[in-house]
Amino acid sequence: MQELLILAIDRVNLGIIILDQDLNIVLWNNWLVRWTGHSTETMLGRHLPAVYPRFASKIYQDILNNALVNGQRRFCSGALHKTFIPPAKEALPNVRQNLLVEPLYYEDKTYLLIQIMDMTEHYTQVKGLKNIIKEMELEYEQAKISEVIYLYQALHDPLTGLPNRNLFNERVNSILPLAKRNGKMCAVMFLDLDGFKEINDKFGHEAGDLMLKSVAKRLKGLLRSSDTLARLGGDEFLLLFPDINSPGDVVSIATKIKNDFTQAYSVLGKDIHITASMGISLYPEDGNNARTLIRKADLAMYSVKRQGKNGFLFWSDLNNNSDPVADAE
Amino acid sequence: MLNPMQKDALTEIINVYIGKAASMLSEMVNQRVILSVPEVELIAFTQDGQPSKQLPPIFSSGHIISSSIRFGQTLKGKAFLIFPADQAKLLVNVCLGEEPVIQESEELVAFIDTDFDVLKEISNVILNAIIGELSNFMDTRVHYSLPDIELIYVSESEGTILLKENTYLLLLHTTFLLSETPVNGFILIALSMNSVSWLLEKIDALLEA
Repeated sequence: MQELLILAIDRVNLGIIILDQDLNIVLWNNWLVRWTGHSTETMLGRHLPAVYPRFASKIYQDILNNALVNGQRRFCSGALHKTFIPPAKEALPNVRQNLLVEPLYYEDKTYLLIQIMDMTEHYTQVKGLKNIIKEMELEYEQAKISEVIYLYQALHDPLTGLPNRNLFNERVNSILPLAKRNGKMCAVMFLDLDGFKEINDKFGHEAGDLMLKSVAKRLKGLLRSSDTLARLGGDEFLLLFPDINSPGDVVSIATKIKNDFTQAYSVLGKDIHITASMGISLYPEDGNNARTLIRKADLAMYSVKRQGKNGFLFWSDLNNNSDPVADAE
Repeated sequence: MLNPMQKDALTEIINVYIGKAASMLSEMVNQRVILSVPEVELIAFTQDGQPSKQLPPIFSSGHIISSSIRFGQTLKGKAFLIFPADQAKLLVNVCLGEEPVIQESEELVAFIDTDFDVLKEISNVILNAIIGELSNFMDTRVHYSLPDIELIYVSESEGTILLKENTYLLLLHTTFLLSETPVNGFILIALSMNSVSWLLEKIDALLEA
């Protein structure tokens, strides 16, 4: 039976050391022989802290002592302690071991049972898993950022950073139900610069682009935070004024915009004068969706162009007997 | 359950024990560790398993990590170190020298088994120190088990850890400070009725002397 037990202890897949009260080795199993390359014969009777100085440090002396004197059992994790018994092959990197220390009482004597479990492979897997999780989190973050950028690009004009037609339509369509509920008016303004093509031809496209950016910036400065300014492309801009009380409010802002254009734009060291033609449609009287309101504001703007530019007109001022938008639909 | 004198004496004794555990832990994780128990309470469980007084908010619903060591012979009971899941993860991260990030929501607190190994060892150090010193104080020897780690979900309706009747619970409100990072937890020591009366006798003897 005794031999059978020794055979079993030599077969188990963990290191087993038994120490006497003086910390001398009385059992050194076969796992440790394979792991360290030290035979049982050479290890028996030797002082463990002398062979492995780590066990001579205060922490491990305390652990061994607490087990011997106070009967405490103690678990030490590879995560915090890394290695207790180093392998024979120094090439083995990142060795991690768990360790269990407990007292054994036999024939009026106290012994220490030390069990060492090699956790290296497990920790390597955990590390790999952690890296995969980190990479996936990173990819997810990047995908989220890309999505935000893509969404921004899909809804904004790249030159001025203003909302584009799609976002403008969305804003109009989301604001109209609110206006309806609150019994408020809204206005849509179509603004087209007068003679912008000539500026482009005379000063070049770079100057033209800078000019459009400046117009966008100055227009924005004239608006309330609740208003929306969008660029349709070329020299066309759209403006949305939610929550207005009367057409007079829109007249004020249109006049303010017209007056602002009397000041020259400084582009590439040159002072350039430009004006704008503006057409205005009103909700609810001129239409109840973005498409109709924009179309009517556009027609009013063309009317201003025909009448000599540099001004504004309401769709309702055009004296139209027929509704071209409604007719077309 | 405890008169003010007994309470003071017990708090003082416990703080000496826990100070030793803190210095062991500090050596182990190579960081400054401060452990303190500002208050000790003794709670009795009645026949229906209900506590004699309101338990602290750590027993509100949610996931908790409990590590427990059984100890026996003349002084008999079970000691628990308990953390809410997010605090346990924070403790592990600080011990491993990783970023002490508090998880945003409980669902995101992801433990891997090596985290449990770290918690097992920390609780082993702390609970061994307390049980050990308590047994020294009582002048007796105890047998120890290794810690059992459990991830427990405390439901709204349950709200408390059910204990057998005639069990007394020493509740140690514990604060950990690891390299400036505070971690909240509790230490509970469930003792049999005999062990409690014996402990109180010892404390009274100390107070008289």
